[in-house]
Amino acid sequence: MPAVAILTEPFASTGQAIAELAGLPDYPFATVPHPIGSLTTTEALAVADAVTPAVLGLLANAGAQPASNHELIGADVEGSPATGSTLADIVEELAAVLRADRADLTASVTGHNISLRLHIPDEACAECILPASMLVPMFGHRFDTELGPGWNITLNDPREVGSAESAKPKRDGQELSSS
Amino acid sequence: MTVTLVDPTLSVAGTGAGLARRPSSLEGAVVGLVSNGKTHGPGILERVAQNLIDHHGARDAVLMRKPTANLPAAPEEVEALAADVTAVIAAIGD
Repeated sequence: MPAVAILTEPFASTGQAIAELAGLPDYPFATVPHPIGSLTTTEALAVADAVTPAVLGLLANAGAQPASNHELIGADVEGSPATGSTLADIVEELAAVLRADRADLTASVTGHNISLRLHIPDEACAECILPASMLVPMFGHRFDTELGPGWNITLNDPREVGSAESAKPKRDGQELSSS
Repeated sequence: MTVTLVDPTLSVAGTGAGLARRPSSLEGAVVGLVSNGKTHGPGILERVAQNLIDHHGARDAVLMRKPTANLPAAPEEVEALAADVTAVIAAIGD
């Protein structure tokens, strides 16, 4: 019978260990931020909304199907940035780190594809920013952890020749400015 | 004197049966919800289920509460739930 377990992030390693003991090392989980017990009811419901696409994706072959970008963004948790992260929250969090080097990050979403665009103005410290080969897996892990697995991440990095076209936002995608 | 070392780690219990085959959609599905009894667990499960009913074709949901988070559900409870549902979500709250 199709089943999915929702875990808080700190318990993902425990879940993984139990799955390995059961002979299912690749058993996938849906994860949500910790803690849960101290949330308000409104915040807990927002967490539920945010994890629903991941649950669907693990129960049915159709996969996580966020009906729209609005649905993702609308799952925000008011007053509790550490819980119920949405795509916009995550992009903002990642962009905040890049802004220390005067760079920035924006994103557009189409289906399960997240196209990230790295902005490196002349005044930015380009060499201070990790290369795309390291940023992409880091970003991908962050999105998978917060939103559930199954996202395709591309990064438009102006430092890399030929990367711009591959990550060009699609017409029906929604540009998320983090600044 | 003989010293006996005890390995506290567990070993692999089995090879696993693999993941159950997934349906193409949840159309008409009755979703079983297994709560471990912690705060917000039932609320989160019921909200996820309601989302699946409202937007993804699931038909109904059945909530089962484990008496304690520390122990597995009783086999008879699992069997009863399995008889009534087509998919299961288990969660949390801590």
